[in-house]
Amino acid sequence: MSEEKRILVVDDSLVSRMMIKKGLEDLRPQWNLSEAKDSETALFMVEEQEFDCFSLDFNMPGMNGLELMAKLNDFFPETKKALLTANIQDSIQKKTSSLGGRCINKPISEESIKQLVAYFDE
Amino acid sequence: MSKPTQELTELELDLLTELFNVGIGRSASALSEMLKQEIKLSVPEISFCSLEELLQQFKSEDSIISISQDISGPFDMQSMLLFPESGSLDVIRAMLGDHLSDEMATELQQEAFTEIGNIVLNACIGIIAKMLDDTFTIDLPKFSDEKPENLFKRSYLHDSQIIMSMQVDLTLTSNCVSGHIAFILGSVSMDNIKGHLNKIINGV
Repeated sequence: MSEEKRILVVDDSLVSRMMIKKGLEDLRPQWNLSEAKDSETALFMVEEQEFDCFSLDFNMPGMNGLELMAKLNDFFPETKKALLTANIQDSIQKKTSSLGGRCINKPISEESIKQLVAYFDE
Repeated sequence: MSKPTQELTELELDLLTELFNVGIGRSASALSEMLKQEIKLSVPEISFCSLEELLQQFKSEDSIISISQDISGPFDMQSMLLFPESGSLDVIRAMLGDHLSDEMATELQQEAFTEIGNIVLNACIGIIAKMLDDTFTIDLPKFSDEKPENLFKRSYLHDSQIIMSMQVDLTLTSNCVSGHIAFILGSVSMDNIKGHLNKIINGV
């Protein structure tokens, strides 16, 4: 059984946050899940709480997921950061890798949630 | 006439936007492969307006290239990929090579854009259909090079009709050309859309 982890799900879509959280809850009920509707809220939350892993949407109003990943790296270089996106352009994948993160393809499905869990469990 | 927004809940609207967000992400990936460069996307914007109001956004362009496809299935819509005519030769050269003369690129304009539109719009619709667990029928792409005011002249939509429009700006980073993807839902049955959206929402 995987250890308890604190996960922050950042996505501007409420339904997406619900789907990601439900998928994670089903596979890892012991994980503690929090959510933020945009990057600014996420940055505010990390000042107040600690997280072990981040699930970041890419295309959000304001700061996008890659910009948020770079900011999070300044403070939490060791935490795992996944970028969930349907935008599977090479340039996005390369930028994610260069920031030490992992791209997981949307749409959110059983398969993509399994990949997310496997990455967070690594 | 009631606006569709009055009939969709916040959660339904959120999911509909996300479906198109994911779909357009796939479109950008397909376009990036075809044009061998990074495509930047804006966040999708939903608006409820008349066609006349929608056309105001394009008034500054002399001429617009559009590739449109009528789509039927869980709900009917018209999809459009739009580029300003002024940047069109750059787009064709990005696709087919810098060696093309202006004359040759102009000659290939219709075929090149029809292919781009077909692949980009199908990438988007394909993934939306998968998420809805349903099938869309996509008509053949129609190419046009028109003044903005004539963009919808062959559409089944009429000027004063309230439409729901999802729009995203896409920018070809190497060529500095900006295009536009729009999905226009006209005389739609909101009950139909709501039914499909709620199937997903109820499963969460």
